[in-house]
Amino acid sequence: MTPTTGTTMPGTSRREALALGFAAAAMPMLAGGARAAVLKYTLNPVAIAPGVWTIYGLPEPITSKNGGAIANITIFDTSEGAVLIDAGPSHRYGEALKAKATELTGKPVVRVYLTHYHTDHVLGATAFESGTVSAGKTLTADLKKVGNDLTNAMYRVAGDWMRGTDIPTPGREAAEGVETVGERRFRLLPLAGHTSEDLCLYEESTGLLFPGDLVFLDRAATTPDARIDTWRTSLKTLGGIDHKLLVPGHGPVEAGTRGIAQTGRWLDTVEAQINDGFERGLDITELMAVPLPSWTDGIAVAKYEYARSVMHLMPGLEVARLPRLTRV
Amino acid sequence: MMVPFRKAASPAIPVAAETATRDPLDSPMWKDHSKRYLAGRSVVFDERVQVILPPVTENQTQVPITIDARALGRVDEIVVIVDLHPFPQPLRLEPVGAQAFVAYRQKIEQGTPIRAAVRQGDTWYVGGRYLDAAGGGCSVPPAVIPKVDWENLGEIRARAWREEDGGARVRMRLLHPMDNGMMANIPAFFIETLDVTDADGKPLAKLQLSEAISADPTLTLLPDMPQHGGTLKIAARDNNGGLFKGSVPIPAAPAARTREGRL
Repeated sequence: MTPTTGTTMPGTSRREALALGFAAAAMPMLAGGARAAVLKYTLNPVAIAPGVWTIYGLPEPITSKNGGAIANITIFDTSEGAVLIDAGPSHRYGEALKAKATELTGKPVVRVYLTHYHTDHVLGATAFESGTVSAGKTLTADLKKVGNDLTNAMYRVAGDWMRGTDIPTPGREAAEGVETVGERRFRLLPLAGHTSEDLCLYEESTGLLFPGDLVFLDRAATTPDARIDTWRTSLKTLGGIDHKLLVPGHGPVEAGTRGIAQTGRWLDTVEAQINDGFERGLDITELMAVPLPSWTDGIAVAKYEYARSVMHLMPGLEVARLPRLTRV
Repeated sequence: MMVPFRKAASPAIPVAAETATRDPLDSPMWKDHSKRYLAGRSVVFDERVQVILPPVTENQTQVPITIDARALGRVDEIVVIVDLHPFPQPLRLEPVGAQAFVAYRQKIEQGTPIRAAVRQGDTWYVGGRYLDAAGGGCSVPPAVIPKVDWENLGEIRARAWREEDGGARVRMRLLHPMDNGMMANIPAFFIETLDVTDADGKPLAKLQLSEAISADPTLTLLPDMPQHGGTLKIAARDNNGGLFKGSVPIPAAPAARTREGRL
């Protein structure tokens, strides 16, 4: 299936038009039978507690192969209907998720909590009625501000998987406190650090803790919108919450606090290595080539995310730490 | 772009487009660009000219690029050519007293080959790589147009290191919007030249920058150690005639682990 280039979508920005133009020019090389199949997400929910399932994201970057299905998504059965933690990367994923949740619980989806504004967690939310989608004030504002850039970037990276995807408009505000849905009691705790607002949830009947992307496990943490010090403070807060199982934004569901410790250690390692490289005079591409310590060997996409972090964190050091010259 | 139906004038000297070597990046613009920027000398593709790019384009307005041709030894001139770009020549460097190395950041309009042509005498040695990127780094206004700090325009932040090979390394960041003139109602306003000299004003590296260079130009260069005095001087001029100068002290000895991580 080739993208339709003859029609103009409402709200098409110049950036989108450029991307489409380029895609059209490249089309003769891409056109092939292999790409013609209709794309379909295969969701394999794993039971993690009675009436609770997690669909694991792949430990990969977002690509046109995986359609962005890289984040963990969780489905709760409640007497009132299904409750979801995050909605996945695209409208198509959201539709598949809605069908899977209804199949598992025999009930409609009554609540979708969005943890933070990154595409792999939120763009599936358009498949659900706006009134059921709950997000923090900052997340909703961020989507309004940069949503168009987010969807554009995803259309480019993940391609046709994104068809029909638009910017979600959450109809409910998730604020600090307890929300009850049927027999489930969700404690909502807005933190920050990975992004400007990271909604964490703790479900009392199961003892499940959802730190969103404040916790990555065996998959390197991403830092495009990170404030590392705030992130560390949030990890400390999370470490103080008693829980039976922790469901990280990316990586395996586990008892204990290995994910919290590992994310903290990753941030410390990356930040220290970037600081050290800066002090020794390395520029971005040089610093990217510096090998990571061996403890990170088992962590998926470590080298790639480290390289991205160099691009995220280095400019801040240059502004703050290169000495200002007196004017001559 | 090609002008149809007009015969190319037969040149008296061989031009780059007629080089026997095929463009390894197979770009439609190479023939025109090589004529425009490299004509009159022989051109060879050579892997000793390295263009080092990030694994992913994180920000189209700040793509970090390193050109490293030190494997060729001393060179006369380095020209960066970005094939698919409104300003195809972002940077030109004459490393008169410096190594064949520069790291810088630039705006990118779309995925494109990025090349460095490095001249030694009458030969251009060319290396390059393809950068994958989304559109718009030059022509799409950002969601929030960054405020220009007019008060401190041209402020230079810089630091020098003494290298173990006896040379110096300098990293600098100049406060400047580097407006390329493609945004509505914002005229072109950018730094055009930047020189690094010794304390006596003897040139070590002479740079020409263009509209393609990112806001707040951030550069790394490898000048030779000045013969007198442990100081490097930086002088930049923008297209409004603004002059920005500063001097950077070079430490007396290399710091610990200086070699580590150097490309």
